[in-house]
Amino acid sequence: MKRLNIALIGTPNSGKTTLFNALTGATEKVGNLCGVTVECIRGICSFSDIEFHIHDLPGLYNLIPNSPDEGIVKDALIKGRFDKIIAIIDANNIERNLFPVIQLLEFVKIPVILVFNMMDEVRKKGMMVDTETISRILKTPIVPAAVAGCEGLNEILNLLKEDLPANSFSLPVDPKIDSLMTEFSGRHQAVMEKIPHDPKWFLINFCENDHYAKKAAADSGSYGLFETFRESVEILALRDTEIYFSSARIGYIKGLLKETVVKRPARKNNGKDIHDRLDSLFIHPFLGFLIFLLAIFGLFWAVFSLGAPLQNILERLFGLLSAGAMKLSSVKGIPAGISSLLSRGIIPGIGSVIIFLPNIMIMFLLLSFLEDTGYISRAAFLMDKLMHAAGLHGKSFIPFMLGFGCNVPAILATRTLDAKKDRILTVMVMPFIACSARLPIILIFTSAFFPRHKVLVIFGLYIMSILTAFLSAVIFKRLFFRKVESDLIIELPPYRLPKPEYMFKEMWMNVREFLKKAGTIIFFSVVIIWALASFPGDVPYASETTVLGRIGHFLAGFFTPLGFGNWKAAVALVTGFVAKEQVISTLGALISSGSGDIIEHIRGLFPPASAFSFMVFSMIYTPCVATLAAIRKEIGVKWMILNAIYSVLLAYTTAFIVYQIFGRVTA
Amino acid sequence: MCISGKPRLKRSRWNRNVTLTEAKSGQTVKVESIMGGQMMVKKAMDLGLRPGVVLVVVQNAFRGQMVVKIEDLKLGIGRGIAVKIVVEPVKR
Repeated sequence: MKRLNIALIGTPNSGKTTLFNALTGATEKVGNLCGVTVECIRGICSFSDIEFHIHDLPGLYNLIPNSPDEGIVKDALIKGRFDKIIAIIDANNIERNLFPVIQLLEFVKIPVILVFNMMDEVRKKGMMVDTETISRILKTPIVPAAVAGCEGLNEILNLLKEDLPANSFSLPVDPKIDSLMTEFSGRHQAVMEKIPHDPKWFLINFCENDHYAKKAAADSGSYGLFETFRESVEILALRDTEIYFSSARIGYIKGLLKETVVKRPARKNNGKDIHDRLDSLFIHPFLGFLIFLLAIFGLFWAVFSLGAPLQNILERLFGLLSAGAMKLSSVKGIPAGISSLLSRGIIPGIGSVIIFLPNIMIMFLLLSFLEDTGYISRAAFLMDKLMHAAGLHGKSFIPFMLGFGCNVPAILATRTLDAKKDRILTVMVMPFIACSARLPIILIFTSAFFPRHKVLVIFGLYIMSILTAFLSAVIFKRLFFRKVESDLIIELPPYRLPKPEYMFKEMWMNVREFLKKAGTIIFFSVVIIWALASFPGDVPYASETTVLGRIGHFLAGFFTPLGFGNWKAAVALVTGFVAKEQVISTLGALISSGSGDIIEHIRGLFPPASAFSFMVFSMIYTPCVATLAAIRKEIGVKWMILNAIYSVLLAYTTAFIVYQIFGRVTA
Repeated sequence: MCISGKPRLKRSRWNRNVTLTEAKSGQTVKVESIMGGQMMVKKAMDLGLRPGVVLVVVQNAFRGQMVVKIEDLKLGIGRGIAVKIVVEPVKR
């Protein structure tokens, strides 16, 4: 079977991942905002005896990268051996979308297929795009498509299969500069041979101050030569070379589109359409803020209230299962150990987490709803001033919102931030955003101790997690980066009606991850906890004289000042380092006696003040292993260690203060 | 000298340039130049804020972030960047 490597390239939010999913049948995350894909994702699709290995790359505005996610694309293009490239263009904004595509055409010498995406929206607006003429001028095939509606997919597949002529585009520049470039590469052939790229492309890139080109020039040992060349171009162009070449490109695109794109006539209603009207509400300086608060409150209310009935059913189901497993011990032929493992360890341990599956499902469903409508970018825009007050960047808000689902993809999502300091700061405070794994802790403890004001307490805890993140950002900024000032400039995508199938697919992916975690890490941890809590066999299960009881006692000493010097709580917190759900599943395995619900048992285990302090501690303390690994991968091991130490200290102090205050009040 | 205390570019019959922050909501303006560091200018240019581009100010209120519209593309711009963009009002 023939194998072809295909790359997907285009501006952010142009539909690359949607096309990728449509071609490969994958379920990668898509959304109506910029920067959803921040790493190279591979997928395979087979079509008429050819195996296509498709690489979905992050979106970019310019092939001369600003931010790390754009750097990934350039790296992939230089190092990767692709056979064909699909360049996707959002036909709503052809001019801006063509910019990186023209750069791509200048660079690669392999066949490129242009896909003009979102043609359905374009047609609806009454805009006409003459793709045939554009295709003739650029000498590349163009497919008009609407990928989300599966329009044009067959044409794309057919073109992928065909033998296409290699791309031979060359950017027309001023003849004088053009001849200067030819002369230079002719005169310095020996130098140019050291550079494995098209001479003209390389010279232009060097003149545009591209990092990669500059490094390659320095490696060739004749940096001075190139620099003199750049200066002579500057003299001819009468301005900065960087601006000269990008203007040349823009001029070329403008000329190309002048004849081929017909815009619709001016609209009625003062030119305001539905998007503008929605925006006058959603990004209004006051109303928008109010709507945002309501939306977030509504989100948490829905997570809690709508999930509750299903949660009750699951709770009963696990109660029955556990009771059934208890009865197994009286059945002959089944060792007592098995029954104990099931009824005391696995069922209450795993069950205590699984019962929150409905809540988590609603959470992810609503988060992806917000993403797909295009609202998240607006929220980031609104929050800019607030984020700035904390020393963060408005764009950091998007990873924050993702962080409510899971911190790990949220940390990867910071790659869209341009300034390294902004990234480090955002990553460092990300773990304080309460992820969905902390939801079971919050829900169980609030239903046990604050049954009357559940939603308010939950909302308050989330506000606390955001405030912790903000305050920590202020502290980190003071300590490490005094002068960071990078202003917001963000694209506000058009509002789109989310497709339910995408939302459910995405939710299902997250649910699958959650179930996988419950079935592997949490399962094994629970078995280990059960084993340690039953050994030695001659003492009662989970009593203080078991191995686990002794370990727990040793650990509990540290937590006594915080009000929960209870060995079971100590063990739960330590196991929570593996995954935050584990706090609850360990408690579940240790305190259930095989009957009754976990909430009752927890109420018996903690006095109210120490329960509150325990909740606060478990919200703030060390991020889970996966999050720490993500921090290390993105910003380095030093920051990871600092983060772990800082969060434990912060959790300890906060919980201590909370316990002291609440202890006094309740006493 | 400036009575209102706000620093303003000198305006005359020949020079009607102002910074983007001074444009009112609903006004159509043409970008004259973008000042600022290399990184910022490049980022703004990548997003379509280039000299010569005509844009509509969608929102400029309460000294907060601004929203502008270039053709069909909406951009949210922080005030720090907006003051560095010099524009010329366009009569419709």
